Amino acid sequence: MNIKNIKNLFNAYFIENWKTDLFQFGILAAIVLFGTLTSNSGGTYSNIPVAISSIMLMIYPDRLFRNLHSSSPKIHYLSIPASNGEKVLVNMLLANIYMVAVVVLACVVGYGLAHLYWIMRGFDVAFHHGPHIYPSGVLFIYTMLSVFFFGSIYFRKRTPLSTFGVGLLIGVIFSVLFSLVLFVNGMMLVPKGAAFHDYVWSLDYSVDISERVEETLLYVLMGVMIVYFYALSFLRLRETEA
Amino acid sequence: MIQLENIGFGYDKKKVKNPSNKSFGLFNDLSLTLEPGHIYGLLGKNGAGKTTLLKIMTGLLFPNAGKATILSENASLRKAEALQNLYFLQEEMYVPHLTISNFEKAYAPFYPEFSHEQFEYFLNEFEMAGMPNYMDKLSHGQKKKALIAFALATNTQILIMDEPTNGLDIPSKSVFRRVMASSVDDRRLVIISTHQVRDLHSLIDVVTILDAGHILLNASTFDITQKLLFDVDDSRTTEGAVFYTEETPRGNYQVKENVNGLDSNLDLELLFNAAMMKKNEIANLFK
Repeated sequence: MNIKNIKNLFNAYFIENWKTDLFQFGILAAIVLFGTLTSNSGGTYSNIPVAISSIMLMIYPDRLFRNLHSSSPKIHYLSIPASNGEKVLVNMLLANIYMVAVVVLACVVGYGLAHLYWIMRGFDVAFHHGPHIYPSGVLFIYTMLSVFFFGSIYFRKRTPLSTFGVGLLIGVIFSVLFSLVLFVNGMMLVPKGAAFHDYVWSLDYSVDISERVEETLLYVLMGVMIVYFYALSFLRLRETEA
Repeated sequence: MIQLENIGFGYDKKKVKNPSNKSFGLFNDLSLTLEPGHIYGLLGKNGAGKTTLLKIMTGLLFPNAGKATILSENASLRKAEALQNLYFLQEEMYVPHLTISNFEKAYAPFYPEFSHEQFEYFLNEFEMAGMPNYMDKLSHGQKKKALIAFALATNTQILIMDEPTNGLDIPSKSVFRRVMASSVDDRRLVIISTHQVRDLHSLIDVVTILDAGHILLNASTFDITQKLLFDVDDSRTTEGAVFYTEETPRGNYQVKENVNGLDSNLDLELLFNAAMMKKNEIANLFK
């Protein structure tokens, strides 16, 4: 890793993209502003701006790697004098820190302006009634971001949709397989004469672990997924040909 | 500086994946060494694999067999140190939505030897200086001129150009020849892949002809004129095997074996046609 190459990649990104980012910032701030104003006044927040912010974060990697999606821009991108690792790292930082900051700032500005409007109209608004942020929710967003990041390198067209579609398909397949395993296990364990349905429902599937351990396991799983998908992204970029 | 060792490559995945199949399709056991201080002219018919070969050299395509080395590094690794010393000007250019001046600000820092003064000079030569337009809104020829100026100003040790004169107007072609000639030195290797041989006739000093997945000819223009005579109507000599004849209103242009060591001017188009007509004879002559 060479700091100068990383700095040059950031420099090239901001020269090329600052206007688009500023535009997106403005659009999101406006959505949050109007979304908040049109929801119940007095500090109840609409979920629409949160949903749009999340979608913006998920489609952002597609913009970062858009040059990989057609032939000539791909040659341009792959020929930029920086290693594959440096390119993935810079885009990872842009997606996980920079764009998250842009989105959060746009939300703060949108909510702030909405509050300002209410205050000017004479409503008594409590500022602390902002949307609740849960650590597991934040980690989930970052996990999804890593999946969409990989998807934007792996797929060539409509990368966010393709990632979502394939992710959904994999989810469905795993659910079906898991159900089948439970079903088969249940069949084999049913005592003679017992009704299968009654027996399966009488089984206790819960594992006796504390909530704390369960939460930790969930965090570890998401952490592993994040590392896995960024590592996979690096390997995929390294194998990319023009 | 660039070394291709026993390269095998093909686009047909079935052929490539079959281990018993020694034929990869496009290139089979292709080897080539390119040294600094020369301008190589890479010639070949449509579909001969010129662009593919350039992509393998630059690490944009990975060979299915053999190894491509660039500046002592494995080209496929696309290491930053190698890419800093390499500029590949593709035929179908991509330019981002930036002005020329912002393009320089964004991409010049990647090239340690980049010279702003040279860039300005080359832009001036191409009458592109101070152009305020976004590069993606320029005409094909203008984009090419801006990128040629940038490519030359990077001062990379290796400069690879795929059809650089395609789309250039007539005055720009002569400017191209002039600026190319002025920016090549002993430490620089230039490879120009082209069909427009008449545009680059005076620039090229090594001719590399690619045919059917093999290097048919890789020789300096000096060696070529030592071994081949470019004659009209047997005006110089009737001796030597004739490899190619082309009837023109000005007489019959010929390429023949230079048995008497006579001087003649190399004609790349005639040479290429001769090489295509008498592949084995030409290849044997330069072995």
